[in-house]
Amino acid sequence: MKIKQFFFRGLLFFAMSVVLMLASCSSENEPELNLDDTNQQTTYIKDITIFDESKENSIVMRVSADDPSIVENYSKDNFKIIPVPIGKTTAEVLTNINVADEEETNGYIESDAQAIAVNAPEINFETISKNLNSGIKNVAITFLHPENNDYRASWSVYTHTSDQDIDHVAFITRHSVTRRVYIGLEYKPYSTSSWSSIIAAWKKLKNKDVVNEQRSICHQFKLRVKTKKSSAYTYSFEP
Amino acid sequence: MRKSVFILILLQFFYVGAQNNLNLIDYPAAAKVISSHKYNISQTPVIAIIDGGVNVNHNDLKKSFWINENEIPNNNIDDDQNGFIDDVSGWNFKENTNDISNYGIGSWHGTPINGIIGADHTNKLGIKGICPNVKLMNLVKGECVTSIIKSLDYAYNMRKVYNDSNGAKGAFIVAINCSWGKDFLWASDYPQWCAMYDKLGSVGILTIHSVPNNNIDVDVLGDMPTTCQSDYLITVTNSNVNDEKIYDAGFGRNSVDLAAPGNSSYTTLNTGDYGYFEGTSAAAPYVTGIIGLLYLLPSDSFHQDVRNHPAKTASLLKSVILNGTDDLTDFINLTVTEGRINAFNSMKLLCNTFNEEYLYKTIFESMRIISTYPNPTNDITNLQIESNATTKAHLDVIGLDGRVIFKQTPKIQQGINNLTIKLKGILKGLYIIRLKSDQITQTTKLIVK
Repeated sequence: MKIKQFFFRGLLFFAMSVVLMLASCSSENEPELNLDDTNQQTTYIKDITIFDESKENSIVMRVSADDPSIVENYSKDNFKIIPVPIGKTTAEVLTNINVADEEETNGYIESDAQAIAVNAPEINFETISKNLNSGIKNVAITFLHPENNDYRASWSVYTHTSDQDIDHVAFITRHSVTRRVYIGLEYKPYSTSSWSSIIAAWKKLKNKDVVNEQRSICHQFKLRVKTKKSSAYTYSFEP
Repeated sequence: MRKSVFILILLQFFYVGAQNNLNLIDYPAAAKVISSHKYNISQTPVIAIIDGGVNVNHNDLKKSFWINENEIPNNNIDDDQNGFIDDVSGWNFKENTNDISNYGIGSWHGTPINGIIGADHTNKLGIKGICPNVKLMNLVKGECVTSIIKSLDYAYNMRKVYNDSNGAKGAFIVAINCSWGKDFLWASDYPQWCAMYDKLGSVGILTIHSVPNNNIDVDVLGDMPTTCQSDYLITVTNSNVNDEKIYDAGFGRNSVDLAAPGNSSYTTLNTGDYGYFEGTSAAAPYVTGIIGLLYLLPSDSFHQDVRNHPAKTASLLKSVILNGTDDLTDFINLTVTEGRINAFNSMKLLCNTFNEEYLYKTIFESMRIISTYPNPTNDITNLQIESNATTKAHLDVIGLDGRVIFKQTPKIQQGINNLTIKLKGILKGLYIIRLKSDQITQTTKLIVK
């Protein structure tokens, strides 16, 4: 039995060695297999127009994922936009309108223990157009992600990207007593750059914590958020 | 090229890793018992999955879906007279239609569950479900309690009709997977909902529910239906491949039955592809799938009981699932069993109930101590011993100085044997339990505290 096992282990080791050897012998000029997600999977897209309370300002939010059932679940009710006037900061505006805490449930508050990385479905959000009044420089966006009602799925990961070559500030705040919110923030200085980490995923945001990161040279920000069920966080990317 | 080969190797490791969940619960040994006996089961078990619908076009699931043979598709007539028109493959209780696909509903959650339980075994695609011969009935869940009760009642009626018609009508539903629940609610407020589990059990259906994905004690904070008490309800929390409790998983010494290794479950995805699925939602289908597997046991007397005593069989199945668990330190005082599901142990316990001699040689080892419990002990410990033949054995407890302080010559029967060792007045310390027959000698440690 042991000899048999030894033989098979040896065979496996040999096979893997041959594979590795073949790999290392490949020509440097041989084109590499492109594993870019965009070439591998279908991305489903839904564009949603969201108005603020005054109905005078609006944005079009593009929601995308590789699963149509996830994208289908989003509507304008899952977003709230708050105009940020010229001369004011997002933090000032949010303080003034008092973005409320999510109500506690039975006194239960999710523990502060660090959650490990997860295999969660990824959902992407991008503002593809804005229609703002002249006195408004930007909007902050609050997310009320659709509840998967009673399903006992674990975490969800949301990716938010800023406008390219416009935004230089990334702002995010948590306003939920109950739900944990973890973030990771990256940016590209130039379109040709690779993503550089500003805040390594996953940093826990405490309730009312504010992250306000500025980069004078910035092609694009990418903010990743990990939460469970309906979570309350607001972000804005500002010029 | 180099990159692609590296990724292929990496994927191979991931694939092996993905199988670890099944290895951990001794699934391969249990599945081998089924595959090595060419036994023609007269009735294919059906597992109902109450969830968010399913990707009906997934290539690894298409062949596994249950078809209602007594319903003519799309004729707008309730052919089987069960109150649901054209319920060919299940029912959508959210929209009150016969559409079980999840497109437009907004839930990706049902497809990975279908995969863990019943992905196709006849093709060479991505994965194989736990149950090699099963049909999956998808019932799309509504949100309110009334709708939940209706979906449970649908399964009850289908099985009842099946039992009453001797298999000519209805569906042979043996288990329902429910990877959902309502947080912070109490059974005392929902008597009608709780009563459904006994009702389902009365026709032979076990219901398997997952607990919340939060580190909470449901005995203290409540959860539905976890807090319902029923002999036919099994509640499942989440562990990982290292047999540790997942931090974000509910527990309850009275209400949560056992753990299953849901984390990093490689399964079918709603995208039509394969990938990882997590949480207690992934844990419950392991238990559900194993119940389906146990219904494939190649035993005439078992299947006779399934036909004649469906409720008793369902109760027995719950008992072998709970008693077959492997004890895990992470779950001490946190669940009813304090353990994690073990498919092969449960199969042995089930086999032990029915005297199918030809199965004993396949299932049981020559003679060995399976467990010693409690250990450490004060004065009494229980041994579980398995044997593939009836034989006389010598059982000794020996001190480290070589002195024999307990001696017995029990007759070990084929199957599972339970022996109690009383060690009153014994000094604290480490002892050796020795089990000896003509063929083998096995020793195990015992700590007296």
